[in-house]
Amino acid sequence: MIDPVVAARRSFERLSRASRQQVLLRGVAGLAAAQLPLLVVLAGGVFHPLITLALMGLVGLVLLLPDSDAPTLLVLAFGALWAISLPATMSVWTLLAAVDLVVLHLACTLASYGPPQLVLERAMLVLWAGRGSLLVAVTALAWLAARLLGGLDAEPSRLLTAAAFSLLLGWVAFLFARLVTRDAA
Amino acid sequence: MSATVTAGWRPTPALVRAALVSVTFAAVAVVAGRPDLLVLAVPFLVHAVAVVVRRPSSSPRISSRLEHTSLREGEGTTAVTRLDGAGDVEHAVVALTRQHFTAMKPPGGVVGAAATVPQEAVEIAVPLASLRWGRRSAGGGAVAATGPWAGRVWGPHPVLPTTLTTLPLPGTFDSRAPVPHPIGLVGTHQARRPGEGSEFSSIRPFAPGDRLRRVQWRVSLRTGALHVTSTVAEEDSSVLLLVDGGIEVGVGEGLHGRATSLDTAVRAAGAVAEHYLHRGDRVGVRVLGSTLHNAVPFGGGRRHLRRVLDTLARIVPGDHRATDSARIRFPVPAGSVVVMLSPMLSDQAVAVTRTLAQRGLNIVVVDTLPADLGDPDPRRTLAWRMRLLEREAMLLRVSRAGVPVVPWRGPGTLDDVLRGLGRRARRPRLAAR
Repeated sequence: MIDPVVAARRSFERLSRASRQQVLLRGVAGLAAAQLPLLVVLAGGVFHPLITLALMGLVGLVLLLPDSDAPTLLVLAFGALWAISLPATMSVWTLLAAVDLVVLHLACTLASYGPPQLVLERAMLVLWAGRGSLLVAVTALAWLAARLLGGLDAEPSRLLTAAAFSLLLGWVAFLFARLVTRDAA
Repeated sequence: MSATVTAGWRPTPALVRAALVSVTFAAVAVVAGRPDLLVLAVPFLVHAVAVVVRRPSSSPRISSRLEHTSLREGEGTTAVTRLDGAGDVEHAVVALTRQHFTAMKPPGGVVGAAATVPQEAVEIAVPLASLRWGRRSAGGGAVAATGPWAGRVWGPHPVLPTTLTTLPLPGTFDSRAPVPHPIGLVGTHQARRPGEGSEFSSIRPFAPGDRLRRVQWRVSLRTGALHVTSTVAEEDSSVLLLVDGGIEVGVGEGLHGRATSLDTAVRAAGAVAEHYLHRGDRVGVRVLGSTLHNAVPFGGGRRHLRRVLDTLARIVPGDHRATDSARIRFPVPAGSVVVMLSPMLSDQAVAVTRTLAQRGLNIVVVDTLPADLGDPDPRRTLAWRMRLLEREAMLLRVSRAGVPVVPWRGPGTLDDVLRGLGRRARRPRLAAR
């Protein structure tokens, strides 16, 4: 069992040797994470001081350990805050929140490629800029589609819900098969 | 050096995040009828799909090498880590272990290589330079590879190091003084006997066997008898370098920093060996305080210089084993010059010096003790002063044996003492009968 103080000291030592690019990536991730509670409030949600404080604690962890599970916890906590603070909304703040999550996710992903001293090549940054654009474009399309469908005022359909559940379960089963089972290679 | 690793790939935190968030947000969106959460889940869903539709089919194989396994101090080489079977690798990163006296570029030794287009092999090169003589391992560390969309990671796996031999960079040295007793065949040193050479000795009557071009016509005409110009023979010499490797004093900071006594001794030995070998003399090396690779027999030429430097590079500081100085044998030919490079802090060094002096050899002690140890602790400073008093007594014993002691100062270090030894050799001596 690693002493948390020792682990924290090691993290700070690693961070002290970080390259400028890695510091920048962590800064972007921290900034994107810090904006999440603000987006909830701007979208018309209720301000929850305790949950916001917990989120800020997670933001600190994300800054230190972007290659850990802290960003995952942060995104899930934000989802919980969004769900309990806001009614279903498809305003532009929803799209901005999704884009903010993309920025946070990609910054943490790029910061996890290696030790903090690593400087990623230009080719990698260009590749990920393209991927980020793709993610944002697909999200924007989904947001537009959701807005259009919301504008139709369609009646709730059991068949549609069942189809959605089936899709979800299929996705979970596929993920389980792909991630939990060990690669043969 | 290579190692085959067959361990597989595992999901990265990014993939776990994408999968977990997409599933959780989508589930809540369906259950609670919240399409906004579905919009938030979309980018994570796309990322997760992009990763899981393709599975890595093979694991890379690691091999590592150094471009050069032997360097001079300050020279650089490249540590290359190669991943074969890297079709599923999108990015690879190598983190070399930091070693004393090894500089890397970048300083942390962490270098990445992108393979945005699938390649069969990925090579990562880390430039490094060795800043101090010796044999050290270099190029060791860890390597990791990441798959497409940063979804799976392979490693980190160890990269095996390779032994890097760093030959000492000989200091600047030059000597214009002849060696006192050149006894050899053909060389550049003036011998004490007449013979074929270029240095004038005398004009003497012609004798059978003299060459006609040696005839001194002016004197021959004046005296009426044939005279010839005689020259001093020029011969090569043998130089034995004794390096005290048992004790190392001072702080070693590599090529561009402070030097320990052993750094000075090794670099000075390299310089003296290079100088005399270039002049055609024979040089031998003996390392005191070391039991392995501690001697190089007398020899000459450029390849011999490499042998000498290689032996000097193998000295391990502090690898001292107590040996009886009376039992050490030095096969030194007559007329050799012995250069002892030592901080003169051990009884063994003093005993060896006195023994060789008593054999009638020309021996010079080059004092390699650093001028300033830079220790701020007053107690250690006091202890060191006491040690220096003991050393003075040792140096006095050496001086009484007729052995000159000079500090190493590069060019001309040995000039005065070698001339002094030459004069002393020509002086009449009282011999005990």
